[in-house]
Amino acid sequence: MKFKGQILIILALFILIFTFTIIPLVSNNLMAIDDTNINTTLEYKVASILLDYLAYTTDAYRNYNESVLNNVIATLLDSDSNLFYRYYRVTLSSSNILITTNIPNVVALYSSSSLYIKLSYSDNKIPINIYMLINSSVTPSIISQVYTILLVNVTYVYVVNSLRLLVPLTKAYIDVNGTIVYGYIERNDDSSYTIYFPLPIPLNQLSEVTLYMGDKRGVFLWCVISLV
Amino acid sequence: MSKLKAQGKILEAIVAITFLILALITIRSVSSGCTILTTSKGTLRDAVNKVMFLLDTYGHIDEYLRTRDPINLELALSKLLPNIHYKLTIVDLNTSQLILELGSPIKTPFLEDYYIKPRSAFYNNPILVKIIISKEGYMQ
Repeated sequence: MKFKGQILIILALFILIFTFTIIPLVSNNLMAIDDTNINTTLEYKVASILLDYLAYTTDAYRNYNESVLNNVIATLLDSDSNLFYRYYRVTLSSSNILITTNIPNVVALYSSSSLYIKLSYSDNKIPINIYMLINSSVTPSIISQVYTILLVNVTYVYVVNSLRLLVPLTKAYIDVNGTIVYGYIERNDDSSYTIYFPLPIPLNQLSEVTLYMGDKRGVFLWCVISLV
Repeated sequence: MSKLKAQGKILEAIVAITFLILALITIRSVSSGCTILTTSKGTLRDAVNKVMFLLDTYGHIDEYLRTRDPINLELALSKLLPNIHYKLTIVDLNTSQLILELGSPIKTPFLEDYYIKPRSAFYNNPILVKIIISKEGYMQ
């Protein structure tokens, strides 16, 4: 009975110390667990990586096709898997990538055609489901003033997981029988551009030119314009 | 003497109960504060992640790696994070070299997020892009 009050005091002090030291420590750790909650944040991080790979591949292989994109991006993903595991604690499987594209695509003068790269990553083991579409509509025409000018009207948009992104086109050139001609890009509004190419040789000597368009992210789209 | 002892015991008991009540109140306030903080942090982290994704997708990081001029990156950050203090750093993961440091030092409470760019078209080595933003104004 004599020590009952003292025991209560010691108990109360213990609870106080516990409150001010252990609980904040535990709650900090809980926040750290919250930090590593990858469900909502990893999709954007993986999307950034896939866009990097797309830019790297389309820049290195200017005349790529669907098979090149699929193979190179899968190889890059496999070769960097240790890096992803070190930073994201996940193993991204290259077999979960699917890329489809309609390139190469022949676009006739005065007609409109759509070029796209569609990339998706779906993983059942970890909650990642990424869908990205880089879509461009190309309408080529010729204006003859002092010089013959190939004029290409372009709309260019990204869609990533229902997020519409207006990534600016920064570079456009045509390959005319091995001669590279850079175009002057005029931005009409957020997603539409007019690109002017002065043709280096008379139009009647040309049957087709290859058009390349590079955006600020480094991704290149290409197509063949038929001038016949 | 026994009366004094009895008063002492009563006093001890009162002090102990007071401590217990204080402790319980503190536990409640700390735990409820943590709940708010965690919820806010999750939402904010989502937003920061999206900001970093936009920054990267619009090509501002790649543009910096290509030109080494941070002006457009700074403009984009001021648009994406209006009136929010931030510190953005880019580090080469192979050499541990600091490539870029933007913004000002951030006091607590802050939120930190990062992502890796394993293979940019404009830089040879993998890089880590890290952002720290001030959480002031986001706690309520």
